[in-house]
Amino acid sequence: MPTKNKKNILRLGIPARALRFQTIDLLELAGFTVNVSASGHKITIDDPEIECFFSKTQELAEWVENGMLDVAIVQKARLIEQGIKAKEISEFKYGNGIWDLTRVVVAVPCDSKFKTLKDLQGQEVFSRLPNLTKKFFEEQRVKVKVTRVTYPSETKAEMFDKPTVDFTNTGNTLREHDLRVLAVIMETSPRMIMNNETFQDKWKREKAENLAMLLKGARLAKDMVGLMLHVSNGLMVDVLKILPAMKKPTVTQLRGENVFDVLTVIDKKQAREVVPRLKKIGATDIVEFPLEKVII
Amino acid sequence: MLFLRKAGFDIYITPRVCQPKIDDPEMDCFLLRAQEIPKYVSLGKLDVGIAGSDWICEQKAKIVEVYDLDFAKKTVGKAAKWVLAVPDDSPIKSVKDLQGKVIASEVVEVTKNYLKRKGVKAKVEFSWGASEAKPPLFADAVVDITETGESLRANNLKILDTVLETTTKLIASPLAWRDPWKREKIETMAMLVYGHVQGHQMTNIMAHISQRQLEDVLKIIKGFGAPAVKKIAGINYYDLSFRCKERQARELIPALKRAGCEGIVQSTAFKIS
Repeated sequence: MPTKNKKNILRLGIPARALRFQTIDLLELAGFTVNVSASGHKITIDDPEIECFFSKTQELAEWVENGMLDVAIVQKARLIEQGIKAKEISEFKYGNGIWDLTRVVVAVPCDSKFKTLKDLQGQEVFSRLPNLTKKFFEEQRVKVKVTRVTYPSETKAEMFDKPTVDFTNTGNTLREHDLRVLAVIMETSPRMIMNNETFQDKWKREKAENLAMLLKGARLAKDMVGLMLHVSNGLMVDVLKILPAMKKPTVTQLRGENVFDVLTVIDKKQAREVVPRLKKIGATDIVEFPLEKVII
Repeated sequence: MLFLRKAGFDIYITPRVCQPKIDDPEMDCFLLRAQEIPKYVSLGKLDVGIAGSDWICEQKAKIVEVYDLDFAKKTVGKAAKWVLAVPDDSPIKSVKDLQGKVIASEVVEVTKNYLKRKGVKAKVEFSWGASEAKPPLFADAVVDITETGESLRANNLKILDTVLETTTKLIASPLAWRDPWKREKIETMAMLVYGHVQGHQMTNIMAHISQRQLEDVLKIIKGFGAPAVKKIAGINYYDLSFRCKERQARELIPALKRAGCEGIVQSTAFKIS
């Protein structure tokens, strides 16, 4: 059993289920070598100062709160559901199978008569997040009976013809079970949380913040690209107008010519509009390149 | 294969084809069992190959070791080893107890050498594989390869001793090594592959820093080659660009951020060895 609060070791909880693969992805992109045992229960990384631990996020959240773990990556909705008291040090944009936010929704069978939340008055609602669900319906002034169910709730909603509250990412599971979204309760994303006590430990805090910075940098780099191009002096003003930069593009004059080398970083989605425009106004040698980390 | 790809070679493999295509007209590739590669390299049938040091020893192949690549099947940087193992409940407690016993192994020569070093006389039987299953019925002990020990544990075997630590080597045929053109080609390819295996591939870091904090930041990156420092037009900021090893980035980036850098970007765009 882990002893509480080891000195100069950061004990890190990693989600073992829905957020598992993308969390491992991010750790690797952040620059760590990740090893998962054959059983899939044990995770180690090549930093002797970080001890990793797989578990469900419900448990990870509790264990950070009580100090068994220093930090963990946990879904925000879980923190609210469980009323976890811990320091939130970072948030990341990804969900199960997506690099986007996860939603907590009220879903009902497609062929049910429920059209609005009001129609659920007096109904039994299944939920994987009962506290959050009760609070939501209270705010909506709709009286329902909330029944806690465990993963997955979609199968139960389909079989027993009940409304259910669950996480959704791509919407695939809802479709598989003939469910449709009636309302979105909240958008949620993974957070890195830290135990309130070990947050006061300067070494641990810095270690955790550095890790969060690298993970966030790796995550952001997935959304952005680098751009290099050559621009003649006369075009410079126009090009700079088109380019949105993190600060300002780096502009260097090419040796012996009246041409400049422009280097910048832009949003991937912007790139597909910006690059053709740059080409059109006369920029040359445009190179788009992938980024590994972006830290703003 | 992964490392060759990372090193910038395009390799196309189709199922069942043992001669993958590579986008370098000066190279021909063959997919062969690691056991056979040292032999072909030593005979000069292959100019260069990648093989485990275990099979090089086993076949006593005369080759030129170009690089120790140090990657095994599952884990990078952790050597696989050939170990002497016996059943958990075996009366054999050390290699000395093997006098006159039977040892099964895929690496007969390596095992014989090991026994000779230990001054133990035992019978070494060649094993085609699945050696873990052999003791206690078919042999008293085995010399088998392990990385994580999982397969040994699953078969209730315990390790008595390490016989040979094996690492992956990039080897060249002595004949090819004497040919200046081939040697240069081998060295160039080997350098690219080696860089990636060792995580030595360079990564490029760019950041913006105010004039006031520039000195502090330059101290942090001292020793990572000369950084390019450019003044950004119009504001009191500098653009900093330097290269470091991939592994160092995860320590340098937080340090840079803490020292006041903004817009830190890491990319591998500018690959320069």
